[in-house]
Amino acid sequence: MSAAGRTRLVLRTTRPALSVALDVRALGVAAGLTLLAVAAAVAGIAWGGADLPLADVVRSLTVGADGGTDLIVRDLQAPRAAMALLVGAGFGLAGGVFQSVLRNPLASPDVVGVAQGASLAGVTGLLIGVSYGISMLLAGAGALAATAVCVEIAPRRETLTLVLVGIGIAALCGAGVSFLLTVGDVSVTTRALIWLVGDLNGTDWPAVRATALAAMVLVPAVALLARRLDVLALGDDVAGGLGAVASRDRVLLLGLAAAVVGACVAACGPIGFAAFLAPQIGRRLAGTSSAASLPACAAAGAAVVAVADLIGRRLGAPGELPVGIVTAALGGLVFVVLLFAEQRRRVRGS
Amino acid sequence: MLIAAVALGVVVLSVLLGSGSIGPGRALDALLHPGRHPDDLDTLEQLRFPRTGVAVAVGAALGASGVLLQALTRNPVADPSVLGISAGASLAVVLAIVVLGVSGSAAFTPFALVGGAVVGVVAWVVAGGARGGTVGLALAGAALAALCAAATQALTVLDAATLDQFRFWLVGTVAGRQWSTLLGAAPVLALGAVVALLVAPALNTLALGDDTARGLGQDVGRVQLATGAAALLLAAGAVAVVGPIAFVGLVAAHVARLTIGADLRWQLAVAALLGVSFLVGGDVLGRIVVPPREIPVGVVSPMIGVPVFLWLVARRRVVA
Repeated sequence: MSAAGRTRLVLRTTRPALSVALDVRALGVAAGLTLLAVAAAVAGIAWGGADLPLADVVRSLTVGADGGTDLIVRDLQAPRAAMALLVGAGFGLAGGVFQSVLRNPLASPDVVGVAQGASLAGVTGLLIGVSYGISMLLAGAGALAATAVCVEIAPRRETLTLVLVGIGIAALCGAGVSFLLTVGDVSVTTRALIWLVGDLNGTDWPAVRATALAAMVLVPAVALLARRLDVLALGDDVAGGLGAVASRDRVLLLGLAAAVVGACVAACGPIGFAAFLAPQIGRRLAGTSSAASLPACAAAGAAVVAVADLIGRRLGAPGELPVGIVTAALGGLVFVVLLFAEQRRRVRGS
Repeated sequence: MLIAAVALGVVVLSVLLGSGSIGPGRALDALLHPGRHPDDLDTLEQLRFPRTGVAVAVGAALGASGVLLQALTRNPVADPSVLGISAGASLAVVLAIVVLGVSGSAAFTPFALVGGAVVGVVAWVVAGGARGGTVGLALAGAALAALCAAATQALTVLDAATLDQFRFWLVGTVAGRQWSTLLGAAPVLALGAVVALLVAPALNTLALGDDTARGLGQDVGRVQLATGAAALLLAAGAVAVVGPIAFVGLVAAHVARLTIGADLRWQLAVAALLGVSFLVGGDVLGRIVVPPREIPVGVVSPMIGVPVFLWLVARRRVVA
């Protein structure tokens, strides 16, 4: 929170009357990670299965190459790349908000019930046979519903109780999903299992447009409320002294973040641990956990998903490893890092 | 005592009721007059007796494990599933199935032990040990459990053929379990029970706090090790036989504490009985709710256990 050692850029405009302090390092990290993400996405178009020369891909994306390449690049691969970036950014952003509001790096949407609620709703949809699109919308609704239940049950909507209730709901939804997977017939179950680990396959432009639309609505909302994150981080009592209603702000922020997760899950399934990984990476690079780091979290998320998708397609060739498997593996690595960090802290006796 | 009576009653129900065609009347008749209905008796012996027996053993193991873990971590939400031990154990078993092609609970057990131990310890350390508090530990366990679940799902997708047969096991179920399945894990379960019984008297002293216990002459490190080992043996053995079943230990331990008070020796015994009631009862419920289908007990137990858990949180019984 203190400005010691951090360079800030202050933007002031008179019309409209705005005054914004921007954290240079955090924004720099965000920009860098965005470049990385885009590069990985373009590489994914070129090397992710179509095996096209990189130069051709770039040309196709910008000025247009020959018909065949254009078809592959623009209609088949580019939607997937765009979706990876969008969804990754969404997971990263939501993860950052969750981890800040709940004050624990482990409290990501994957753990406190949001992703599980979405999974349950989505798998139910797939199993009762509604169309894929509707199942995905159900999944989005499931994410919101899980968060709503969590918020309703948690007494006084305190951080700690929200987390515990979230864990309980996650367990309940997880049991439900396991049960549904045993009940369905094998073909549907296989489809559901693939979706459950995150599936970017088969994305098309309409889906990308729908997700982008959701993003255009939700992201500004999060940006507007981002300041409250910093106030909340001061602790409920101090925040109250500053005029904030802590429990209400928590609900608002978590609700928005859950909506973002819902939109992403509706697009391509719950990509495990992307929401956990991205803020860890973004925040450690940006050197801050405040709201200023949220763009870095989003950019890190986009980078993680794009890179994971590329890895999944290269390693799994001629098929592909679902992106969720790669992110889960990376998530495991981050856990090990957390483990060592904790051990080191213990040894130092702090 | 009431609880023992309930446990016994539930066990009897488990033998009498079921999703099959042998209703309670026929079952009772077959049991009381063995000569009259040899076929029915055969079915009972092959399906319901072993199933009930397995559920009794596993229920007791999970209930006791819950008390041991809560005593060890001094954390009211500790339980093999909340700490991720069950998830780690099942991941290890799935890995063993896919990579080494093992099968049978006797072979599963060592992998379950290793997997459960690794995840449990990692959760403890990442949560910051005793500093982590209730929520820190629950969160670390949940995060690791989610990770293990993701890994298990990944393996299921990658090797669908092998794992199709284990889809049911992954849910956690006593359906179709035979005496042989139980025997495979029996050494581990028995060892865990013995260690638990041996360490039980020391638990009350441990509950006073590390420093006080040391001041009273206890070798705290050794007691903690023994408690952890017992809890792990019981939990891993249970997972090896029936797959991961969640929240049994948590509910059993809390109800035991509420009914019998603070003496951990009694809590251990009562939690074991409550675990039996809970698991066998859950299994019976799963059998009679939607005949002829069955709901696996691994699905029923969170459905009952999570609301109880949430109620505990809401009532602020879980001190953060």
